[in-house]
Amino acid sequence: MKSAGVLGAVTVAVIALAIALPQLGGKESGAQEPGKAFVPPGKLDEYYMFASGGHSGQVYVFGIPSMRRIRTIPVFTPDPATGWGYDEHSKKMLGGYTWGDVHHPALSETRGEYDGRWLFVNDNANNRVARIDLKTFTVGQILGPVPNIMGPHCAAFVTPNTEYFMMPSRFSAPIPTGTYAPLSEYGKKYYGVLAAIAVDPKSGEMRVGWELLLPPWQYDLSDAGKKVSEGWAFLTTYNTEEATTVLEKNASKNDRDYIIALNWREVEKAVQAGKFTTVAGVKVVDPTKVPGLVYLIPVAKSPHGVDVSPDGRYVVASGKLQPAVTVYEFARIQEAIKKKDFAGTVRGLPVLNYESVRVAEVPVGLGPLHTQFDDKGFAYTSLFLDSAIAKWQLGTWKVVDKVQINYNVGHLAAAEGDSASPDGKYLVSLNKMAKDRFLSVGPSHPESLQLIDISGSKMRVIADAPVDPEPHYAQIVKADKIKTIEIHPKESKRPYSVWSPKDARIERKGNEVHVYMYAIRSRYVPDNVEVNQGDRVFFHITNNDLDEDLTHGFGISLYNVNMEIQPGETKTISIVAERPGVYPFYCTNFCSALHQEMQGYLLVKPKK
Amino acid sequence: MTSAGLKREVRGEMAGWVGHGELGRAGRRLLLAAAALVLLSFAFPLWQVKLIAPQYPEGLTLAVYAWGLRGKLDIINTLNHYVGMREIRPEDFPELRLIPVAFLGVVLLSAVAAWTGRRWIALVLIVLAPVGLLGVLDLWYRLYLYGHTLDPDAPIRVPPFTPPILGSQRLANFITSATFHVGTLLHLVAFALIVLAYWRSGPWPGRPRS
Repeated sequence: MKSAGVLGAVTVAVIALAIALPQLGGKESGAQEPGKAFVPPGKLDEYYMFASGGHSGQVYVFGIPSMRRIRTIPVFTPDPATGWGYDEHSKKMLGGYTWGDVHHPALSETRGEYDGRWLFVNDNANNRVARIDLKTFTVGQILGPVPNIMGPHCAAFVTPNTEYFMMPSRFSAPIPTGTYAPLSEYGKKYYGVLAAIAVDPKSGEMRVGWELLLPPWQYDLSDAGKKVSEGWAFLTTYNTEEATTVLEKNASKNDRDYIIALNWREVEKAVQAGKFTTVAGVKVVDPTKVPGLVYLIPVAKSPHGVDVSPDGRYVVASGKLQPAVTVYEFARIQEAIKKKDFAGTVRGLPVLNYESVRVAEVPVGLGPLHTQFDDKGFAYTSLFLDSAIAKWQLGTWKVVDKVQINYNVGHLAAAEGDSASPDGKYLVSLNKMAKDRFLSVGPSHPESLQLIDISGSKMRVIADAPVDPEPHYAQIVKADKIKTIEIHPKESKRPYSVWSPKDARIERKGNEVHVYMYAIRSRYVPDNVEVNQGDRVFFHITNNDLDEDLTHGFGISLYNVNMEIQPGETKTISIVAERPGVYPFYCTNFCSALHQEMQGYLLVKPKK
Repeated sequence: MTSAGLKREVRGEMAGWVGHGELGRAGRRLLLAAAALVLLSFAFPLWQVKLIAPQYPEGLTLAVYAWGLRGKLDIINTLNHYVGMREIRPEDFPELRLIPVAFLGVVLLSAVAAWTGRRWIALVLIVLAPVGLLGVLDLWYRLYLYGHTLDPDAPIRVPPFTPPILGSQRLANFITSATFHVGTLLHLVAFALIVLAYWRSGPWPGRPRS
């Protein structure tokens, strides 16, 4: 405990200097070796990288090592090009929200390894989480807003067999969501709630498993234990000061905050034993009433990332305001719990004795945020203030190399670097500032991604790539683990589908008109649709081009709708024919030599 | 030799020529092998056509099997409609329903020949073999019809043509390559085996009777 305090004091002394460092940080990034990132035209990358799109609400897909951006997957934000949020199905999934804030993508895992089935991403703004199905790279489910939590920044970091991921509140708030309580009652009526999202192992269907009532602090990042530490999850906290104003100052007062060690298997047992109350339809467990679920581990003030080593033995906390990472050993944590080696309790939760559980403080540099791992026993920690990445060795706790990046790295992602068996080879630095690295586009610049070769003893920056705001975390997965489908299979019984021009038709039900439309290059059947002003018109369109990449579009002039229909897909879009007149609809996604001819008219007869 | 004896001898010789007698152990094995090969041919295309274009470097393949069509028929039909070609539909080929029956008949006959060792069954098989050529002719005629009954209202007008039955042809951005496939090859080998079995058990001079 004492050394944490000393280091905290040192931190204060170096901060002023540290703030100035990004400006001093040079353009001398590591020696350039462009050849290693070059993937010739027509050749495919070795890895996929899934990067969160931050407040764009989307997910970006890259190829590694070329750093080519392959795809943007629309998730929480409407996207006219694909029709995400325009067609009936996705519009319903978005639930009226027009943006989200995606932070941490998590690939599904089996035995701690990426299994290439799903990608889970959180929405820090609206308490939601989405599952992207990696057969199609489209969203299969959006869950939420999840009751009682607020700002699930921590998610998603899955348990080794994707049983759960934890969605704790970044912003403590009164519960259930929507309850009013003045800030003067922050300490009494505000809660940091953790929602454990349970994932069906077959379908990937997400549901709220249970929730945990935590103190009104802020929960920042999490990681799941693996191998020896399987069954546990670790979260970082800040603002244990419980400040409600000027947090940059008031939430930075305490010399230490805590890592929360959570025994989620024990929580499951508590839920089964009925030790919960129901809030907003969710089973909520209070760990101050059920001992053995939650322990607090002191950590230098305002930590950011917490990362479990590939073997599950070590838990690495990055200091943010302390120029070191603190490493805890899981076995010692277990020992301390067994011996009740506590330094008291805080808000009814036992605090483990820091000296008993900490194995090392590694002086990595200024502003450590996150840590990734390679296949040779090294760890890589991003240094926001130093604009650098430090490489250090597990066991000897020695820093062995540093590389300058440009500029201000947040997260970093190594090839399968948070799984049970990292690949080494590549590391991507996800930088918050690009400044002078690309042709200027005005006062604000893109974010910047830098590819770092970590195969040798010295790290080398080998490629730069600009990216739209704003990737936070990313995961890099071996390409052959992802098994996409070429077309949507022809399902003759699929609702609203039409598989022959003979079955294409227009049906009227009162003032609802259903157009069952057959699309194939380069025509729609039917291609002229007459309705009455005021009708609600549903276009159910099936793309009969069962040919990879032969996507059709459907947009209606002046009716403000557009969508794509992928090969073999059936999609529904609807409008209310409020304005009379004649409005063309046409294929918006270039499909064929006669794409320009793929059109029709929506004729809206005026009311008499 | 008495004249009756000579007559009997000659008749025996003649009967040997047209199919009397036994195939022998080796011949029966050959017939069994032929039956197996024809059965195996169901697993392979008899004929295959591949359409390659700059945007289809992997090619669009359509294969004719003994039991039907396989491949990217939907896509080929969609592309063909631009030049006004009729849709190729498996139900438009009633002969495709005959082929598996005929082939199974060959399997059965060969197996019976192998079982009984009757030479004349092998002869029947040899005599019937050219019927297979009718299948090839039928295929050619089908191809001719598809290429010569083009919709005059098609978006792209091309002069009538016959898609290749063997070899390559270029039409617009597509190179069409057709070839007989493993299935047909198996049939040819099976035919050769039957001929061999028949020939080596024959009474012609110099052939040891087995």
